[in-house]
Amino acid sequence: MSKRTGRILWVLCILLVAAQTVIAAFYTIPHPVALRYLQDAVKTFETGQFQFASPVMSIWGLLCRLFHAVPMTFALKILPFVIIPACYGAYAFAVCMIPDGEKTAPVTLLLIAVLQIFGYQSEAFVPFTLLLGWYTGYALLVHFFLPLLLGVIFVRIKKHPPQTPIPEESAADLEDEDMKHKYLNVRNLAIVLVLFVIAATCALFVLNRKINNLHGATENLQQEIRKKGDVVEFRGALGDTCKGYIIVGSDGGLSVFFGGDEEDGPALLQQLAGYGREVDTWYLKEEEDGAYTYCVEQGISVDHVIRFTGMEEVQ
Amino acid sequence: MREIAVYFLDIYERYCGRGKLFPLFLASLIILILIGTGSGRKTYPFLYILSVLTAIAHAFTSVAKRISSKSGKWLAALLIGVTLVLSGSSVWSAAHLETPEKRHEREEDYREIFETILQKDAHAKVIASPDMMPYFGAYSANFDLLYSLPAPGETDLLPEEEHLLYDTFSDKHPDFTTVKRICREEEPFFAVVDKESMWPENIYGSGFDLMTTIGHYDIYICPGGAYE
Repeated sequence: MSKRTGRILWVLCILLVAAQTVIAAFYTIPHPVALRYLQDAVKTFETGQFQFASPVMSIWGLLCRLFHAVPMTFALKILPFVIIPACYGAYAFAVCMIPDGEKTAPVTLLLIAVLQIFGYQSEAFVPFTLLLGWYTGYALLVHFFLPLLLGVIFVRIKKHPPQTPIPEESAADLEDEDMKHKYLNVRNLAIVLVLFVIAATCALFVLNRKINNLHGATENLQQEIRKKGDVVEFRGALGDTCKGYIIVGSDGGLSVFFGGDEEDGPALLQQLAGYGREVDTWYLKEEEDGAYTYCVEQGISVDHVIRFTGMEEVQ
Repeated sequence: MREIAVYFLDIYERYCGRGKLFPLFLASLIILILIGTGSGRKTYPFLYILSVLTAIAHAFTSVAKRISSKSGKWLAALLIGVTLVLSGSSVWSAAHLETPEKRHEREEDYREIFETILQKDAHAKVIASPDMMPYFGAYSANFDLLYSLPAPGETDLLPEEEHLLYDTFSDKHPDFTTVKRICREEEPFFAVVDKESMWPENIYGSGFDLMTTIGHYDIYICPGGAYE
Protein backbone atom coordinates (compact mmCIF):
# COMPACT_ATOMS: atom_id res chain seq x y z
CA MET A 1 0.00 0.00 0.00
CA SER A 2 1.39 3.38 -1.02
CA LYS A 3 1.78 6.23 1.44
CA ARG A 4 -0.84 8.26 -0.41
CA THR A 5 -3.42 5.45 -0.19
CA GLY A 6 -2.58 5.05 3.48
CA ARG A 7 -3.18 8.76 4.11
CA ILE A 8 -6.49 8.68 2.23
CA LEU A 9 -7.60 5.70 4.32
CA TRP A 10 -6.65 7.45 7.58
CA VAL A 11 -8.67 10.50 6.49
CA LEU A 12 -11.60 8.19 5.66
CA CYS A 13 -11.34 6.64 9.13
CA ILE A 14 -11.34 10.07 10.79
CA LEU A 15 -14.38 11.16 8.76
CA LEU A 16 -16.25 7.97 9.64
CA VAL A 17 -15.47 8.38 13.36
CA ALA A 18 -16.58 12.02 13.21
CA ALA A 19 -19.83 10.98 11.49
CA GLN A 20 -20.44 8.28 14.10
CA THR A 21 -19.85 10.78 16.93
CA VAL A 22 -22.21 13.40 15.51
CA ILE A 23 -24.92 10.85 14.73
CA ALA A 24 -24.64 9.35 18.22
CA ALA A 25 -24.94 12.77 19.85
CA PHE A 26 -27.75 14.24 17.76
CA TYR A 27 -29.61 11.56 15.85
CA THR A 28 -29.56 8.32 17.88
CA ILE A 29 -32.67 7.38 19.86
CA PRO A 30 -31.46 6.49 23.37
CA HIS A 31 -32.01 2.77 23.76
CA PRO A 32 -34.09 1.83 26.87
CA VAL A 33 -31.74 -1.07 27.73
CA ALA A 34 -28.69 1.23 27.84
CA LEU A 35 -30.64 4.10 29.40
CA ARG A 36 -31.36 2.01 32.49
CA TYR A 37 -27.69 2.19 33.44
CA LEU A 38 -28.02 5.98 33.79
CA GLN A 39 -30.13 5.44 36.91
CA ASP A 40 -26.93 4.71 38.84
CA ALA A 41 -25.34 7.92 37.55
CA VAL A 42 -28.43 9.86 38.65
CA LYS A 43 -28.31 8.25 42.11
CA THR A 44 -24.67 9.31 42.53
CA PHE A 45 -25.45 12.76 41.13
CA GLU A 46 -28.29 13.32 43.60
CA THR A 47 -26.85 11.68 46.70
CA GLY A 48 -23.09 12.01 46.16
CA GLN A 49 -22.68 8.34 47.08
CA PHE A 50 -20.39 6.24 44.93
CA GLN A 51 -22.11 3.08 43.64
CA PHE A 52 -19.40 0.45 43.81
CA ALA A 53 -21.48 -1.97 41.75
CA SER A 54 -21.55 0.54 38.90
CA PRO A 55 -18.24 2.45 39.03
CA VAL A 56 -18.29 4.00 35.56
CA MET A 57 -21.80 5.35 35.95
CA SER A 58 -20.85 6.68 39.39
CA ILE A 59 -17.93 8.53 37.82
CA TRP A 60 -20.32 10.14 35.32
CA GLY A 61 -22.59 11.04 38.26
CA LEU A 62 -19.72 12.62 40.18
CA LEU A 63 -18.55 14.55 37.10
CA CYS A 64 -22.09 15.88 36.62
CA ARG A 65 -22.14 16.90 40.28
CA LEU A 66 -18.81 18.66 39.84
CA PHE A 67 -19.81 20.57 36.71
CA HIS A 68 -23.51 21.00 37.62
CA ALA A 69 -24.59 19.11 34.50
CA VAL A 70 -27.77 17.06 34.07
CA PRO A 71 -26.65 13.39 33.87
CA MET A 72 -28.95 12.54 30.95
CA THR A 73 -27.74 15.51 28.86
CA PHE A 74 -24.14 14.83 29.86
CA ALA A 75 -24.31 11.16 28.88
CA LEU A 76 -26.32 11.53 25.70
CA LYS A 77 -24.95 14.76 24.25
CA ILE A 78 -21.48 15.41 25.68
CA LEU A 79 -19.99 11.97 26.28
CA PRO A 80 -20.21 10.83 22.60
CA PHE A 81 -17.67 13.53 21.73
CA VAL A 82 -15.26 12.14 24.33
CA ILE A 83 -15.86 8.39 24.43
CA ILE A 84 -16.28 7.50 20.74
CA PRO A 85 -13.04 9.22 19.60
CA ALA A 86 -11.25 7.84 22.68
CA CYS A 87 -12.35 4.30 21.82
CA TYR A 88 -11.18 4.68 18.23
CA GLY A 89 -7.92 6.08 19.59
CA ALA A 90 -7.49 2.87 21.59
CA TYR A 91 -8.34 0.77 18.52
CA ALA A 92 -5.90 2.79 16.38
CA PHE A 93 -3.17 2.22 18.98
CA ALA A 94 -3.89 -1.52 19.03
CA VAL A 95 -3.93 -1.96 15.24
CA CYS A 96 -0.76 0.12 14.79
CA MET A 97 1.04 -2.06 17.31
CA ILE A 98 0.05 -5.40 15.72
CA PRO A 99 3.28 -7.14 14.64
CA ASP A 100 3.64 -6.72 10.85
CA GLY A 101 0.37 -4.79 10.82
CA GLU A 102 1.56 -1.18 10.70
CA LYS A 103 1.09 -0.84 6.96
CA THR A 104 -2.44 -2.23 6.94
CA ALA A 105 -3.46 -0.38 10.13
CA PRO A 106 -5.78 2.16 8.39
CA VAL A 107 -7.64 -0.64 6.57
CA THR A 108 -8.02 -2.59 9.82
CA LEU A 109 -9.33 0.51 11.60
CA LEU A 110 -11.73 1.23 8.75
CA LEU A 111 -13.10 -2.32 9.01
CA ILE A 112 -13.53 -1.86 12.78
CA ALA A 113 -15.48 1.36 12.14
CA VAL A 114 -17.74 -0.45 9.66
CA LEU A 115 -18.20 -3.33 12.13
CA GLN A 116 -19.34 -0.78 14.73
CA ILE A 117 -22.03 0.49 12.36
CA PHE A 118 -23.34 -3.04 11.83
CA GLY A 119 -22.78 -3.81 15.50
CA TYR A 120 -26.36 -4.30 16.70
CA GLN A 121 -26.59 -7.98 17.65
CA SER A 122 -29.42 -8.20 20.19
CA GLU A 123 -31.13 -6.21 22.96
CA ALA A 124 -28.90 -7.81 25.59
CA PHE A 125 -25.83 -6.73 23.60
CA VAL A 126 -26.84 -3.04 23.53
CA PRO A 127 -24.71 -2.05 26.57
CA PHE A 128 -21.68 -3.47 24.71
CA THR A 129 -22.53 -1.72 21.42
CA LEU A 130 -20.45 1.42 21.17
CA LEU A 131 -22.82 3.43 18.99
CA LEU A 132 -25.87 2.68 21.16
CA GLY A 133 -24.48 2.41 24.67
CA TRP A 134 -21.27 4.48 24.63
CA TYR A 135 -21.88 5.73 28.17
CA THR A 136 -22.13 2.27 29.79
CA GLY A 137 -19.22 0.67 31.62
CA TYR A 138 -19.40 -2.39 29.36
CA ALA A 139 -18.89 -0.34 26.18
CA LEU A 140 -15.95 1.45 27.77
CA LEU A 141 -14.39 -1.86 28.84
CA VAL A 142 -14.86 -3.62 25.50
CA HIS A 143 -14.05 -0.72 23.18
CA PHE A 144 -11.51 1.27 25.16
CA PHE A 145 -9.71 -0.58 27.95
CA LEU A 146 -9.34 -3.98 26.25
CA PRO A 147 -8.06 -2.65 22.87
CA LEU A 148 -5.72 -0.41 24.85
CA LEU A 149 -4.48 -3.43 26.80
CA LEU A 150 -4.04 -5.34 23.53
CA GLY A 151 -1.95 -2.47 22.17
CA VAL A 152 0.17 -2.37 25.33
CA ILE A 153 0.79 -6.14 25.10
CA PHE A 154 1.86 -5.79 21.46
CA VAL A 155 4.23 -2.97 22.44
CA ARG A 156 5.78 -5.26 25.09
CA ILE A 157 6.07 -8.07 22.52
CA LYS A 158 7.79 -5.72 20.07
CA LYS A 159 10.23 -4.53 22.72
CA HIS A 160 10.98 -8.00 24.06
CA PRO A 161 10.39 -10.48 21.21
CA PRO A 162 10.21 -14.09 22.39
CA GLN A 163 13.52 -15.86 21.96
CA THR A 164 13.26 -18.88 19.70
CA PRO A 165 16.01 -21.45 20.33
CA ILE A 166 18.53 -21.42 17.45
CA PRO A 167 20.00 -24.89 16.99
CA GLU A 168 23.77 -24.82 17.00
CA GLU A 169 25.39 -27.00 14.46
CA SER A 170 28.00 -28.05 16.96
CA ALA A 171 25.52 -28.97 19.72
CA ALA A 172 25.03 -32.62 20.51
CA ASP A 173 21.86 -34.37 19.28
CA LEU A 174 21.00 -35.48 22.80
CA GLU A 175 20.99 -31.93 24.09
CA ASP A 176 18.62 -30.92 21.27
CA GLU A 177 16.27 -33.75 22.09
CA ASP A 178 16.29 -32.75 25.76
CA MET A 179 15.47 -29.13 24.88
CA LYS A 180 12.65 -30.28 22.61
CA HIS A 181 11.16 -32.42 25.38
CA LYS A 182 11.36 -29.58 27.87
CA TYR A 183 9.67 -27.25 25.38
CA LEU A 184 6.90 -29.79 24.74
CA ASN A 185 6.40 -30.35 28.46
CA VAL A 186 6.06 -26.63 29.11
CA ARG A 187 3.63 -26.31 26.22
CA ASN A 188 1.51 -29.24 27.45
CA LEU A 189 1.48 -27.81 30.93
CA ALA A 190 0.33 -24.45 29.55
CA ILE A 191 -2.48 -26.15 27.58
CA VAL A 192 -3.62 -28.06 30.69
CA LEU A 193 -3.57 -24.86 32.71
CA VAL A 194 -5.59 -22.98 30.11
CA LEU A 195 -8.14 -25.82 29.96
CA PHE A 196 -8.34 -25.86 33.76
CA VAL A 197 -8.93 -22.09 33.86
CA ILE A 198 -11.66 -22.39 31.19
CA ALA A 199 -13.36 -25.25 33.11
CA ALA A 200 -13.15 -23.32 36.39
CA THR A 201 -14.58 -20.21 34.73
CA CYS A 202 -17.46 -22.25 33.30
CA ALA A 203 -18.19 -23.75 36.70
CA LEU A 204 -18.05 -20.29 38.25
CA PHE A 205 -20.48 -18.95 35.65
CA VAL A 206 -22.96 -21.74 36.26
CA LEU A 207 -22.69 -21.32 40.03
CA ASN A 208 -23.05 -17.57 39.73
CA ARG A 209 -26.16 -17.95 37.60
CA LYS A 210 -27.68 -20.39 40.07
CA ILE A 211 -26.97 -18.01 42.96
CA ASN A 212 -28.49 -15.10 40.99
CA ASN A 213 -31.63 -17.12 40.25
CA LEU A 214 -31.89 -18.16 43.89
CA HIS A 215 -31.41 -14.56 45.01
CA GLY A 216 -34.13 -13.36 42.60
CA ALA A 217 -36.52 -16.10 43.71
CA THR A 218 -35.90 -15.30 47.40
CA GLU A 219 -36.52 -11.60 46.83
CA ASN A 220 -39.79 -12.36 45.05
CA LEU A 221 -40.80 -14.72 47.84
CA GLN A 222 -40.01 -12.09 50.47
CA GLN A 223 -42.07 -9.53 48.60
CA GLU A 224 -44.97 -11.96 48.35
CA ILE A 225 -44.75 -12.76 52.07
CA ARG A 226 -44.61 -9.06 52.91
CA LYS A 227 -47.73 -8.47 50.83
CA LYS A 228 -49.62 -11.18 52.72
CA GLY A 229 -49.05 -9.43 56.04
CA ASP A 230 -46.30 -9.24 58.59
CA VAL A 231 -45.84 -9.20 62.35
CA VAL A 232 -42.87 -7.28 63.71
CA GLU A 233 -41.74 -7.34 67.30
CA PHE A 234 -40.83 -4.07 69.05
CA ARG A 235 -38.17 -4.65 71.70
CA GLY A 236 -38.14 -1.26 73.40
CA ALA A 237 -35.50 1.46 73.51
CA LEU A 238 -32.93 -0.81 75.17
CA GLY A 239 -33.81 -3.80 73.03
CA ASP A 240 -33.93 -6.11 76.02
CA THR A 241 -37.63 -6.96 76.36
CA CYS A 242 -40.60 -7.19 74.06
CA LYS A 243 -42.64 -4.02 74.44
CA GLY A 244 -45.14 -4.49 71.65
CA TYR A 245 -45.94 -5.64 68.12
CA ILE A 246 -46.50 -3.94 64.79
CA ILE A 247 -48.90 -5.84 62.53
CA VAL A 248 -49.02 -5.06 58.80
CA GLY A 249 -52.20 -6.35 57.15
CA SER A 250 -52.41 -7.84 53.66
CA ASP A 251 -54.05 -4.59 52.49
CA GLY A 252 -51.17 -2.51 53.94
CA GLY A 253 -53.18 -1.46 57.02
CA LEU A 254 -51.19 -1.02 60.23
CA SER A 255 -52.06 -2.12 63.76
CA VAL A 256 -49.91 -1.61 66.85
CA PHE A 257 -50.12 -3.58 70.06
CA PHE A 258 -48.85 -1.68 73.15
CA GLY A 259 -45.46 0.04 72.63
CA GLY A 260 -44.02 0.64 76.07
CA ASP A 261 -43.33 3.77 78.08
CA GLU A 262 -42.41 7.28 77.06
CA GLU A 263 -38.68 6.46 76.86
CA ASP A 264 -39.48 3.79 74.24
CA GLY A 265 -41.29 6.40 72.11
CA PRO A 266 -38.39 7.51 69.82
CA ALA A 267 -37.37 3.91 69.10
CA LEU A 268 -40.97 2.94 68.31
CA LEU A 269 -41.41 6.00 66.09
CA GLN A 270 -38.30 5.08 64.16
CA GLN A 271 -39.50 1.51 63.67
CA LEU A 272 -42.99 2.67 62.69
CA ALA A 273 -41.59 5.09 60.11
CA GLY A 274 -40.68 2.16 57.92
CA TYR A 275 -44.36 1.26 57.54
CA GLY A 276 -45.98 4.68 57.16
CA ARG A 277 -47.38 7.39 59.41
CA GLU A 278 -50.97 6.16 59.61
CA VAL A 279 -52.03 3.51 62.11
CA ASP A 280 -55.48 1.96 61.73
CA THR A 281 -55.80 0.62 65.27
CA TRP A 282 -53.58 0.99 68.33
CA TYR A 283 -54.22 -1.42 71.21
CA LEU A 284 -53.06 -0.10 74.57
CA LYS A 285 -52.67 -1.44 78.06
CA GLU A 286 -54.31 0.71 80.69
CA GLU A 287 -51.17 1.66 82.54
CA GLU A 288 -48.76 1.84 79.55
CA ASP A 289 -49.37 4.53 76.92
CA GLY A 290 -46.18 6.67 77.05
CA ALA A 291 -44.80 5.51 73.68
CA TYR A 292 -48.23 5.92 72.05
CA THR A 293 -48.53 9.52 73.34
CA TYR A 294 -45.01 10.32 72.08
CA CYS A 295 -45.75 8.94 68.58
CA VAL A 296 -49.05 10.85 68.32
CA GLU A 297 -47.26 14.05 69.37
CA GLN A 298 -44.71 13.43 66.61
CA GLY A 299 -47.40 13.30 63.93
CA ILE A 300 -48.45 9.66 63.72
CA SER A 301 -52.18 9.55 63.02
CA VAL A 302 -54.23 6.82 64.68
CA ASP A 303 -57.77 6.04 63.48
CA HIS A 304 -58.89 3.87 66.40
CA VAL A 305 -57.47 3.46 69.90
CA ILE A 306 -58.59 0.46 71.91
CA ARG A 307 -57.61 0.27 75.58
CA PHE A 308 -57.61 -3.00 77.42
CA THR A 309 -59.05 -2.17 80.81
CA GLY A 310 -59.48 -4.24 83.91
CA MET A 311 -57.05 -6.87 82.67
CA GLU A 312 -55.47 -9.00 85.30
CA GLU A 313 -52.70 -11.52 85.03
CA VAL A 314 -54.33 -14.92 85.38
CA GLN A 315 -51.36 -16.64 86.93
CA MET B 1 -21.28 -30.78 31.12
CA ARG B 2 -24.76 -30.61 29.60
CA GLU B 3 -25.62 -27.76 31.97
CA ILE B 4 -22.56 -25.79 30.87
CA ALA B 5 -23.48 -26.36 27.21
CA VAL B 6 -27.08 -25.21 27.85
CA TYR B 7 -25.77 -22.22 29.77
CA PHE B 8 -23.47 -21.13 26.96
CA LEU B 9 -26.19 -21.72 24.36
CA ASP B 10 -28.47 -19.51 26.43
CA ILE B 11 -25.77 -16.82 26.66
CA TYR B 12 -25.19 -17.09 22.91
CA GLU B 13 -28.88 -16.66 22.10
CA ARG B 14 -29.19 -13.76 24.50
CA TYR B 15 -26.20 -11.78 23.34
CA CYS B 16 -25.72 -12.75 19.70
CA GLY B 17 -29.35 -12.85 18.64
CA ARG B 18 -29.32 -12.78 14.87
CA GLY B 19 -25.85 -11.23 14.73
CA LYS B 20 -22.88 -13.09 13.31
CA LEU B 21 -20.13 -11.42 15.32
CA PHE B 22 -19.24 -14.49 17.36
CA PRO B 23 -18.96 -16.96 14.42
CA LEU B 24 -16.94 -14.31 12.57
CA PHE B 25 -14.65 -14.01 15.57
CA LEU B 26 -14.09 -17.77 15.72
CA ALA B 27 -13.42 -17.85 11.97
CA SER B 28 -10.93 -14.98 12.41
CA LEU B 29 -9.06 -16.86 15.13
CA ILE B 30 -8.79 -19.90 12.86
CA ILE B 31 -7.58 -17.68 9.98
CA LEU B 32 -4.93 -16.09 12.22
CA ILE B 33 -3.77 -19.52 13.47
CA LEU B 34 -3.54 -20.82 9.88
CA ILE B 35 -1.65 -17.73 8.72
CA GLY B 36 0.74 -18.14 11.64
CA THR B 37 1.30 -21.83 10.86
CA GLY B 38 1.65 -21.21 7.12
CA SER B 39 4.09 -18.30 7.27
CA GLY B 40 6.02 -19.52 10.32
CA ARG B 41 5.62 -16.09 11.94
CA LYS B 42 3.96 -15.59 15.30
CA THR B 43 0.47 -14.06 14.95
CA TYR B 44 -0.55 -14.35 18.65
CA PRO B 45 -4.16 -15.33 17.78
CA PHE B 46 -5.26 -15.89 21.39
CA LEU B 47 -4.35 -12.35 22.39
CA TYR B 48 -7.19 -11.17 20.16
CA ILE B 49 -9.67 -12.58 22.69
CA LEU B 50 -9.19 -9.15 24.28
CA SER B 51 -10.71 -7.38 21.32
CA VAL B 52 -13.16 -9.21 19.07
CA LEU B 53 -13.47 -6.42 16.50
CA THR B 54 -9.69 -6.06 16.16
CA ALA B 55 -9.42 -9.82 15.60
CA ILE B 56 -12.03 -9.84 12.83
CA ALA B 57 -10.67 -6.73 11.11
CA HIS B 58 -7.05 -7.90 11.34
CA ALA B 59 -7.89 -11.38 10.04
CA PHE B 60 -9.71 -9.92 7.04
CA THR B 61 -6.85 -7.51 6.31
CA SER B 62 -4.28 -10.30 6.62
CA VAL B 63 -6.19 -12.47 4.14
CA ALA B 64 -6.59 -9.61 1.65
CA LYS B 65 -2.87 -8.80 1.98
CA ARG B 66 -1.94 -12.31 0.93
CA ILE B 67 -3.90 -12.20 -2.33
CA SER B 68 -1.57 -11.07 -5.11
CA SER B 69 -3.81 -10.69 -8.18
CA LYS B 70 -5.75 -7.46 -8.68
CA SER B 71 -9.06 -9.19 -9.49
CA GLY B 72 -8.58 -11.43 -6.46
CA LYS B 73 -8.13 -8.35 -4.27
CA TRP B 74 -11.37 -6.83 -5.58
CA LEU B 75 -13.22 -10.08 -4.99
CA ALA B 76 -11.82 -10.29 -1.45
CA ALA B 77 -12.84 -6.68 -0.78
CA LEU B 78 -16.36 -7.44 -2.01
CA LEU B 79 -16.61 -10.57 0.13
CA ILE B 80 -15.30 -8.73 3.18
CA GLY B 81 -17.80 -5.92 2.60
CA VAL B 82 -20.71 -8.35 2.34
CA THR B 83 -19.57 -10.23 5.46
CA LEU B 84 -19.29 -7.00 7.46
CA VAL B 85 -22.75 -5.87 6.40
CA LEU B 86 -24.19 -9.25 7.39
CA SER B 87 -22.36 -9.31 10.74
CA GLY B 88 -25.29 -7.61 12.48
CA SER B 89 -28.03 -5.03 12.09
CA SER B 90 -27.11 -1.44 11.33
CA VAL B 91 -27.33 1.05 14.18
CA TRP B 92 -27.95 3.67 11.51
CA SER B 93 -31.41 2.33 10.71
CA ALA B 94 -34.81 3.97 11.18
CA ALA B 95 -35.32 1.93 14.37
CA HIS B 96 -32.39 3.67 16.09
CA LEU B 97 -32.38 7.15 14.53
CA GLU B 98 -34.61 10.21 14.53
CA THR B 99 -34.21 13.81 13.41
CA PRO B 100 -32.63 16.23 15.92
CA GLU B 101 -35.83 18.36 15.84
CA LYS B 102 -38.02 15.40 16.74
CA ARG B 103 -35.60 14.28 19.41
CA HIS B 104 -35.45 17.78 20.91
CA GLU B 105 -39.24 18.05 20.90
CA ARG B 106 -39.61 14.68 22.61
CA GLU B 107 -36.97 15.49 25.22
CA GLU B 108 -38.63 18.82 25.98
CA ASP B 109 -41.99 17.09 26.42
CA TYR B 110 -40.42 14.50 28.71
CA ARG B 111 -38.70 17.19 30.79
CA GLU B 112 -41.98 19.05 31.23
CA ILE B 113 -43.78 15.82 32.19
CA PHE B 114 -41.11 14.96 34.78
CA GLU B 115 -41.14 18.45 36.29
CA THR B 116 -44.96 18.56 36.41
CA ILE B 117 -45.12 15.22 38.24
CA LEU B 118 -42.30 16.10 40.65
CA GLN B 119 -43.98 19.40 41.49
CA LYS B 120 -47.13 17.52 42.40
CA ASP B 121 -45.30 14.84 44.39
CA ALA B 122 -41.58 15.00 45.22
CA HIS B 123 -41.37 11.19 45.49
CA ALA B 124 -43.83 10.26 42.80
CA LYS B 125 -44.76 6.71 41.93
CA VAL B 126 -44.99 6.50 38.16
CA ILE B 127 -45.97 4.12 35.43
CA ALA B 128 -45.60 4.54 31.65
CA SER B 129 -44.80 2.54 28.54
CA PRO B 130 -41.57 0.46 28.56
CA ASP B 131 -40.01 2.94 26.10
CA MET B 132 -40.52 5.82 28.48
CA MET B 133 -39.94 4.17 31.89
CA PRO B 134 -36.11 4.27 31.80
CA TYR B 135 -36.24 8.04 31.15
CA PHE B 136 -37.87 8.57 34.55
CA GLY B 137 -35.01 6.78 36.30
CA ALA B 138 -32.44 8.54 34.15
CA TYR B 139 -33.94 11.94 35.00
CA SER B 140 -34.32 11.74 38.76
CA ALA B 141 -33.80 9.21 41.53
CA ASN B 142 -36.92 10.65 43.19
CA PHE B 143 -39.19 8.74 40.84
CA ASP B 144 -40.44 5.46 42.22
CA LEU B 145 -40.95 3.23 39.17
CA LEU B 146 -43.91 0.88 39.56
CA TYR B 147 -42.19 -1.75 37.40
CA SER B 148 -38.65 -2.31 36.18
CA LEU B 149 -37.85 -3.35 32.66
CA PRO B 150 -37.04 -7.05 32.45
CA ALA B 151 -33.40 -7.59 31.56
CA PRO B 152 -33.30 -9.12 28.07
CA GLY B 153 -33.35 -12.89 28.44
CA GLU B 154 -34.04 -12.74 32.17
CA THR B 155 -37.72 -11.89 32.24
CA ASP B 156 -38.43 -14.59 34.82
CA LEU B 157 -36.56 -12.65 37.53
CA LEU B 158 -39.18 -9.90 37.69
CA PRO B 159 -41.82 -10.24 40.42
CA GLU B 160 -45.15 -11.44 39.05
CA GLU B 161 -46.97 -8.15 39.64
CA GLU B 162 -44.27 -6.06 37.96
CA HIS B 163 -44.42 -8.46 35.05
CA LEU B 164 -48.17 -7.95 34.78
CA LEU B 165 -47.73 -4.17 34.80
CA TYR B 166 -44.99 -4.44 32.17
CA ASP B 167 -47.22 -6.60 29.97
CA THR B 168 -50.19 -4.26 30.47
CA PHE B 169 -48.20 -1.18 29.47
CA SER B 170 -46.50 -2.96 26.58
CA ASP B 171 -49.95 -3.31 25.03
CA LYS B 172 -51.45 -0.62 22.80
CA HIS B 173 -54.65 -0.84 24.84
CA PRO B 174 -53.51 -0.98 28.49
CA ASP B 175 -56.40 -1.89 30.73
CA PHE B 176 -56.32 0.49 33.69
CA THR B 177 -58.54 -1.83 35.75
CA THR B 178 -55.57 -4.22 35.86
CA VAL B 179 -53.22 -1.36 36.75
CA LYS B 180 -55.49 -0.25 39.59
CA ARG B 181 -55.94 -3.82 40.85
CA ILE B 182 -52.18 -4.43 40.99
CA CYS B 183 -51.13 -1.00 42.32
CA ARG B 184 -53.16 -1.07 45.49
CA GLU B 185 -51.23 1.94 46.66
CA GLU B 186 -52.36 4.17 49.48
CA GLU B 187 -50.29 7.01 48.05
CA PRO B 188 -51.17 8.59 44.73
CA PHE B 189 -49.44 7.44 41.58
CA PHE B 190 -49.13 8.81 38.08
CA ALA B 191 -49.66 7.15 34.72
CA VAL B 192 -48.30 8.71 31.53
CA VAL B 193 -49.97 7.69 28.28
CA ASP B 194 -48.68 8.46 24.79
CA LYS B 195 -51.86 9.37 22.92
CA GLU B 196 -50.28 8.62 19.54
CA SER B 197 -49.43 5.01 20.28
CA MET B 198 -51.64 3.97 23.21
CA TRP B 199 -55.39 3.76 23.51
CA PRO B 200 -56.04 2.84 27.15
CA GLU B 201 -59.21 1.25 28.41
CA ASN B 202 -61.28 1.83 31.57
CA ILE B 203 -59.32 4.90 32.71
CA TYR B 204 -62.07 6.89 34.35
CA GLY B 205 -64.00 3.85 35.58
CA SER B 206 -60.91 2.77 37.53
CA GLY B 207 -60.63 6.01 39.47
CA PHE B 208 -57.94 7.76 37.41
CA ASP B 209 -58.24 11.50 36.77
CA LEU B 210 -56.63 13.37 33.89
CA MET B 211 -54.15 15.73 35.53
CA THR B 212 -52.81 17.48 32.44
CA THR B 213 -51.78 17.01 28.82
CA ILE B 214 -48.27 17.81 27.59
CA GLY B 215 -47.62 17.47 23.86
CA HIS B 216 -49.24 14.21 22.91
CA TYR B 217 -48.88 12.75 26.40
CA ASP B 218 -51.69 12.53 28.95
CA ILE B 219 -50.76 12.42 32.63
CA TYR B 220 -53.30 10.61 34.79
CA ILE B 221 -53.33 10.57 38.55
CA CYS B 222 -54.75 7.88 40.78
CA PRO B 223 -55.49 9.77 44.00
CA GLY B 224 -54.61 6.89 46.32
CA GLY B 225 -56.40 5.20 49.20
CA ALA B 226 -57.47 2.74 46.58
CA TYR B 227 -58.63 -0.17 48.73
CA GLU B 228 -61.95 -1.54 47.61
